[in-house]
Amino acid sequence: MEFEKKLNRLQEIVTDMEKGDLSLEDSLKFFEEGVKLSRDCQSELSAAELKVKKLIGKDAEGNFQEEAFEVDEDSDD
Amino acid sequence: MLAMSSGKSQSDTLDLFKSINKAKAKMKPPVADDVQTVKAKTVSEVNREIKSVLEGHFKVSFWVEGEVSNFTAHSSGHFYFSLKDQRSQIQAVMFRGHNARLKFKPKNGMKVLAKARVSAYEPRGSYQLYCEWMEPAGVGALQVAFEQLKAKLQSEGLFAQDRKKPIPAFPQKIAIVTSPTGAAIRDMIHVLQRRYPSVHVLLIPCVVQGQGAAPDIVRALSLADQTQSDVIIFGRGGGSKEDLWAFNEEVVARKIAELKTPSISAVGHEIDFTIGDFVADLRAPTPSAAAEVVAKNSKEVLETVKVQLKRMQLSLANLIRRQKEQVYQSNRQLTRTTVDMLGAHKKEVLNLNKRLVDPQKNLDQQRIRTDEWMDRLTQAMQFYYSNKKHQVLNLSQKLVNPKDKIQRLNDQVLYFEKQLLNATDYQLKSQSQNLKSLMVQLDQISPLKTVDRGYAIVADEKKQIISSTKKIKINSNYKVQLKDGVVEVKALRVDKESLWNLKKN
Repeated sequence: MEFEKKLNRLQEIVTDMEKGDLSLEDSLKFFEEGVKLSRDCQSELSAAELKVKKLIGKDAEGNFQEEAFEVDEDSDD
Repeated sequence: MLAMSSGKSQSDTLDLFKSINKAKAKMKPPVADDVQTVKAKTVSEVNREIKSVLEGHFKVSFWVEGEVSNFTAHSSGHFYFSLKDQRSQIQAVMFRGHNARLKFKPKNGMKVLAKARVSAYEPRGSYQLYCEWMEPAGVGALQVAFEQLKAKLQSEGLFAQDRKKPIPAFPQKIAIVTSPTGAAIRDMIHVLQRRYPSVHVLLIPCVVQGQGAAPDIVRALSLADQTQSDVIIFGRGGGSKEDLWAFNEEVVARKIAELKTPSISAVGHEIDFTIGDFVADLRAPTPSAAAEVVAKNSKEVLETVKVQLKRMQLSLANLIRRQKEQVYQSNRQLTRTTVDMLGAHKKEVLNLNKRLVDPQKNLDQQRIRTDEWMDRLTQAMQFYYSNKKHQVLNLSQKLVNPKDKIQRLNDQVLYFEKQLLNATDYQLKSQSQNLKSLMVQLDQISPLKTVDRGYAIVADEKKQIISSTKKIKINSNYKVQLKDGVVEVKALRVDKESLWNLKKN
């Protein structure tokens, strides 16, 4: 699931839980899902290193070929 | 000097000098005598006059287009050169203060567009252009082309707000179309690293300026659109108008309009506008700004996520507390009910226990009861028989001879006959006695008896009794019954007085 969808789903779950009309079973189910979502979101957000790749072309089957890209700090264009 | 000797001067300048010559012609031809008397102008005066005429005519600076020739960059920093076209040329100067701002260095043969005013240089008696600004002439043409293309695409609706796609708030993958060696990619990566390190960046390298830049940008954009990226940023760092020109090309603009992926243009500096800016879904003023747009500050988002988690925990804790309370309540109620039920059962058991008797005791009791019943039965039988005997006796006593009954009835009839006779006799005697007394009473109230006592009865001819003077008619005949006969009388007069009150006459 995309990050935004996860975040939206998390907010939806919180709103539903705060209404207070869920059964304990449903609440626990929601809580479990919410915790997983918030964990996913957090881990995605706290990635330390930005991943930058460069497209170098397509292979014979038409798949994109990428390679890691390092910023040339000395470039001045 | 230049103007005087050359017939190729610009036409209006030529006209000016013609008029000056005409003015001179009107003067008297110079004669020797006059030389003493006429005040001759000095050369300086002439040049000063020419200068003031020129400046009076060209009051403000104007644009002039021409080719640079005889270009000299003097050690003083000033530029000296000529501008020429096919027919004419004019001297020009651009002082250091002005030319320092130029973004290019003029060269001989270069076509330029110069903003200049016209004045004369008195010491040399030459008129020339004083340039304030200059730019390669082609850029002016580009500017025109820019405006024309902008108007055209706008009329086609390519800039319309309603065709702009929204930029996703949390893109996972960003495609960047730019030069791999430029400042733009470096700036964007810095921003993303700082604010949004979880995003994936895919660089699609391309040439962003010079010959062939436009088709290369188109190619790179096409590729970027196929990489399943959430957003495409295209652009480059700052540069001259020509440097940025590829982003003003129609092919690039149309490719941007075709993109299925939301796009952000990030070309040059804030003041630079390109056609690409208008077609893209969003214009960022600079590449860094474009990166900031897509990079929600991940710390803020992280905080939001943590808050959500807290709220969730709180809700769950509340729910569990409520449920716990409910269970506790139910438990208490259950205990109470159980205790009540136990009490009730106990009572019932006690009652049953009380009612439960030893079977031997029961048997003894039954035996006693049987004996009792036997006694009562015997007594009842005895009572029944004696009762019947008595009844038989009574009945036999009541049985009598019919003869006696007949005699008794006979006696009764005789008795009743005697009674009846006696009663009839008595009835007759009392009735005749009654009649006698009634006859005496009747006799006493008879009118004849009243007449016996001295009263009279008056009647008319038809023997109707008259009791009031009102019925008396004068001169009519009436009969008066007295004690011993009837008198015939005639009514003479009626007095309302009583007989004893009448006057004697």
